[in-house]
Amino acid sequence: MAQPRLNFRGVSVLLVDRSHYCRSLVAQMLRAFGVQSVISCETGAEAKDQLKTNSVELCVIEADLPDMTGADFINWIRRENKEPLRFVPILVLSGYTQMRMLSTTRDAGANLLLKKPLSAQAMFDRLAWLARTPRSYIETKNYVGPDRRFKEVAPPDSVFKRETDTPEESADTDDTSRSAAE
Amino acid sequence: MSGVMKKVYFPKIKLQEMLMRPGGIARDEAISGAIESLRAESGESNAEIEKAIAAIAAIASGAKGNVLPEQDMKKVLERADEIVTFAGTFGYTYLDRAARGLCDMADGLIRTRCSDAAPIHVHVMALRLFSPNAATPSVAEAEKVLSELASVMAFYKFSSLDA
Repeated sequence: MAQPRLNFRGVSVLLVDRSHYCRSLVAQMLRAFGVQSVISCETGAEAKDQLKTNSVELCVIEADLPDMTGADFINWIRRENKEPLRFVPILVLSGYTQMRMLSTTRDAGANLLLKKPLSAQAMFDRLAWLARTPRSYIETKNYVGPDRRFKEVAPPDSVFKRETDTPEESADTDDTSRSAAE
Repeated sequence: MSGVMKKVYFPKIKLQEMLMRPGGIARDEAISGAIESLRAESGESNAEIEKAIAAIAAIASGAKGNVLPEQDMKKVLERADEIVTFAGTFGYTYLDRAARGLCDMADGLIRTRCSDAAPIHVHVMALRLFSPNAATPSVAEAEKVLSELASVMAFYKFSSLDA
């Protein structure tokens, strides 16, 4: 079966991370995928300013920013903006010391969570999943964002299947609701 | 019946539409391109690691009477977290383990309001030993150092941030 292809031409990404060098690594990875425009910011306030004048298709943010938590920033995007920014996919990157914050960023409306150190494989596969998986948005008094429960579907090809998997086992897996947090 | 208002809908996500357009890049090509591009950065990464280790050492050496204020402990945590990210990205396994140990230690010291600088000094020595520019230690040496760091952790009874 053919490999998944993703077309990043024209995609603009907002990247927010306190570390200049981490921003540079993630930006390089995205550019290697074909992303041409990466808006790089150190703080949440700087990112908010950038979003007033630039439209982006993806936000990649650190779980804890120097001036606010990642959850505060996501809440601002989900609650205080109009579409299309309100629905922009948000990928949260967590450093080793920020893992306790992952559940709060998910509950603020993040689409995907990724632990650092980041690999190109993990980044590409998560974006491919994001592209291929329709996910409803939920709006309640306490939550605005993508549905936190989703069904994990079988892989698109046999690459990741164990030889011992039986069709019954695969079907069981398909019925399991999983959280977006990984 | 619940009185909670709930809206469920499928908004148009521009990123999905853009990524699924014809053409684009295949998975293997994208990943190998990214790895190649990161590999070219490894020299700069080593310099960043050395800078972070030096910064932690400078903070620790500022301790007066083995007491490191919480503010400084937080700076140690932040720099150690950076080292974990760089070491993991470029595959420095021992450095990664020592830096994770320092994160666990600094986090535990902050949580318990303990201001001992001694365990930070011990971790700085390990980070220097495992830094990319240092001579590569043997597996036995490395494991011995790491097991000593683990025993320091056990003394303080702190758990791993990963747990």
